[in-house]
Order: sequence, then C-alpha cells, then structure tokens
Amino acid sequence: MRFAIPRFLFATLGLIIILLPAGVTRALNPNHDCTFCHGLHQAAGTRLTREADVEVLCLTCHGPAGISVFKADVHTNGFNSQYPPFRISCMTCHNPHDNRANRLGPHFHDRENIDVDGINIKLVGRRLDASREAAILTPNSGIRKVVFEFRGREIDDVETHSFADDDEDNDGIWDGACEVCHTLTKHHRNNESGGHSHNRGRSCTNCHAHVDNFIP
Amino acid sequence: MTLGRQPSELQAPVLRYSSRGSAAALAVCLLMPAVAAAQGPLVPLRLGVERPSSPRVELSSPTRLALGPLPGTLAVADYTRRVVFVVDSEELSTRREIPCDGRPSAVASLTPWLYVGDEAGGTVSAYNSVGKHVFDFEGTVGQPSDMAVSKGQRLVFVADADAAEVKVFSDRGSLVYSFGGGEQVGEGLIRPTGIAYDPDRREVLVSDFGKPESGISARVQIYSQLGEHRATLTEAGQDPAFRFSRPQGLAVAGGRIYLVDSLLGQVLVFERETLKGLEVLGSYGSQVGQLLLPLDVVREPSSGRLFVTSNRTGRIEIVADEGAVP
Repeated sequence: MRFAIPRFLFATLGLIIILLPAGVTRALNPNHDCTFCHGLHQAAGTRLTREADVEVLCLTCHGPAGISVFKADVHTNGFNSQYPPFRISCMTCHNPHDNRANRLGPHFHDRENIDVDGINIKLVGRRLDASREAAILTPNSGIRKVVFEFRGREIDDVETHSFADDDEDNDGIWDGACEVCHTLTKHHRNNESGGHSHNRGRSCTNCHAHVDNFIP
Repeated sequence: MTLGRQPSELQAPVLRYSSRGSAAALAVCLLMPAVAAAQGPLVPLRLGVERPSSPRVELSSPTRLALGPLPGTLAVADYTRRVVFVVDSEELSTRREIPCDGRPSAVASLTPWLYVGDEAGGTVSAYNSVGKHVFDFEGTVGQPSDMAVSKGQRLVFVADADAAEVKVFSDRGSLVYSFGGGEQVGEGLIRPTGIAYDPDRREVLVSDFGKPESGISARVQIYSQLGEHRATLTEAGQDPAFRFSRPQGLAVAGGRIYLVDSLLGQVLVFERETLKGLEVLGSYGSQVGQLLLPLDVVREPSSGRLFVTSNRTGRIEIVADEGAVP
C-alpha cells in the first residue's frame, strides 16, 4: 500500500511554516549568539537555556569578571533603604534577543528635530501583550509601555525618550525606562505625582550605576 | 566550611579577639614593625554556626583570590565594595581592608607587594603590607581580568581582556614582554578571563571564553613562560561532565588543573599530562557550601584546601581537594 502525499500539501505546509506569525524567537542582536544561552544537550533551564537561573546566565558575561564591557547587576535597594525590599532581575527590563519597537513607532522627534526609528535601545522592554510593543511588567503598576531611545543629555545630547524625562510627549504617559516602575520614589514616578525635575533628561546611570544595583 | 555572608538575618555586631589570631599578629609584629603600628583588632567574618559571627565585614561581590600577601593569608577582591580584603586563611578573619578607587578585578601577591588590577582605570597598582599604595605598573593594561605570579622569576602575568593578551611585568611593574594576542586563532587568546602559573612546568595557563558564534569553543590555552603555545584544553572529547563554556579562575598544582566554570557552579579538575577530566568539585546552588557564579580558585599548598569565590552568594567556599566540602 502506497501513501501518496499530494505535492500541493507539501507546498502548502511549507508556505504555512514560512508565513507563521513571528512567534519564533530569534537572536537578532549580533552580540548574543544563540549558543551563549541556549543548548540542545545541556539545557538545565526552561526553553533550552543552559542554566536554570537565567540571572546567573546573564552575569557570566555582564557581571564581575565577565567578558562584556557592559557591566550590570540586578536592581535592588540598599540595607538602609526606606522602601520595602525588592529585587528586580535582568529579564524584567531586558529582552536578550533583540531591541523591540516601542509604542511611538517611527516618528519625527519634533523637540529634537530628528527622525527616530521607534526602536528601543539596550534591549529594554519585552513583548508582554498583543501589541508586541516594548513593555515592562512593573511591581505595582501592571504592564507599562516603555520608550528608551537615547541615553540622556550627556551621551547622545538628546534628553527625552531616555531614562526619566517626565511626560515628554504630553500624552499623560510616563514611559522612561526608570520611570515606568517607580510609584514611591521621591523623583520620577510613573505618574504626575512626585518630582520630575531631578536631573531630568540626564543619564541616570551616571550616579545610579547599573553595576551597583542602581543604588547611588 | 564557608567564609562570608550567610542566608540568615543579620545579627548584632560582635568584636572578638582570637588568641591564635593574636599570636599570629604578634609574629607579624616581630617581623614587620610597621604592621604592628597599624594593626587593629581582628574582626571575625560571618561563619555561620561553627564560629561567632559578626556582620561588620561582609563580602558583597567576591571575584578574584590570591595567596598572600602574608603567609597564611588570602587576598580577596570585592568588586562592588571596591575593596581588597586580606584574610587570615586559618582564622578566617580580616587582617586588613584595602580600599580601591576603581573596580578591583584582579589580585596577586609577590612579597612584599600586593598587586591589584583596576578594571575601571585599566591599571595595576602595588600595595605594601600595610595597605599603602606604592606604585603603578607601567602603561595601561586595558582590562586586567586576572593575574598570576612566578615567585622564582619575580614576574607578574596579567591577563588583559581588552587586548586579548598576557602582559608580563617585573615585580616592580616594568613591562617585560607580552604574548597571546594577534596570533593564530587556535593558539591565541580571544576573550581571556582567568590566568594561573605552574611553577613546576613553568607554564602559564589562561582560560578563554572563545568565540562560540564563530565555532570557537571555550578553552584553556597553555603557554610556556616565554609565551610559546604548548597545548589547548577544550571540552572536545571530554566526558559530558567536564564540558565547560564559561571558564574563569584557574589553579595548578601537582599536575592537576583546577578550572572554575561560572555557569556550571563547579570546579573541574583536569590532568595536565593528558588534559582529561579527573573529577568535579562543588555544586551549583545558593546554599552554604554551594557555588553560584564562582569566579576564582586558589589552592593552599600547606593544606591542599581549595578556596573558591561564590560571587552571587557573597561567600568564599572552602573545598577539600578530595572533593568533599568539609
């Protein structure tokens, strides 16, 4: 008995596979080869990650003694902090695969008089809802869209759409990378309360170094 | 046995004087009067249930280790606290804290100097026995990732991760020569991390992340003291238990290579002669006795104990060479 599978079925299947929604994750960031984190044969963690603790995986390169020049650590508060203890790990804010488009999309940045491609930098923001726009799952405010296109006045000379820049687009959304989560801080909360003028538009990491848990 | 932070809550700080520690301090005083003048009370580190604990000194981000600068001591670089601790390896108490302006990323010792590599400044500095900065090494080092010394030749080998080479300095910080960079991919360095010196074979061993995206796996390059490539240790052909991808600190003794893999949370032991895996020490985890992002290992010749930094837990774990954690 022969089972003849029509050629058109093969073609159809191939077409379907090609046109499938891009739910397949690809490492488009050239600095993050797939094998850095994923392994078919030594996958101790979920999604074929090499290590069960993804944070450790990140820090083997971005932590002390790591090979990357971009040093980082998790976001925590110090022993003397007035706030409840918290710990925010790498993948809360970063998508290690690629930079995601933000809610603004390609646009003309009229304050800076430049065209912007609407893609976040530094892998900030993840796809958390159907919009697929860069977002962060915050501790107290649910999913918040994040816009992070520049690193602040000192570095790129562009002070908006950076770390913490108030409601720069006047649309009632505080979407700076450092603003989206803050609800209790003295400065740069994710709403109109609190102060928004503290070193506005500057690189927060000048004083709040990533490698020091963002603690100044 | 564990040195450093414990998972339990902080306790009230307690200062205690150890009689053995005092005897050791007295011996130091007789040999080095300057040390006696500056010596303060010994402060025990947190050790858990076996000894009195004091949270006054805690390791935050221990990275590299070195034997010395005094007999029976260890130098521990703490990356986020920006301090190098000189620790009594027997009493497990702090002898001295040496603050650093930058990020201490490498330590080594050749009596009477303690060398500290600063990742932020791209320099290597020398300190004396009382922690006073004495001189800087010649030129910049880019990114001093690790250091090793040859006591017999009075040489300091610095793994420069930025230049992807080993820079060799005299004990007074003069650059003598360099090797490992700009050579053939198979014999050269790409992303060096840890370094060790084998005085028996007069070899320099350098761990290297390789370039996986180009099919070059992590490896340990082995050179003669003058930089002639002799061998490459890779995971190819090894038992699965000895496959590594994030090699960091190294130690060499008695024909054995001790290699820390920061991802596995283990110390892999290889035989130098055959480059085959012998045993695996330690285990991945955050509990006392386990390793979470280990970055360096040193072997104490007198006891055979291995000291391993567990960066994420802020501890130094002590492993007996037989493989069991005491």
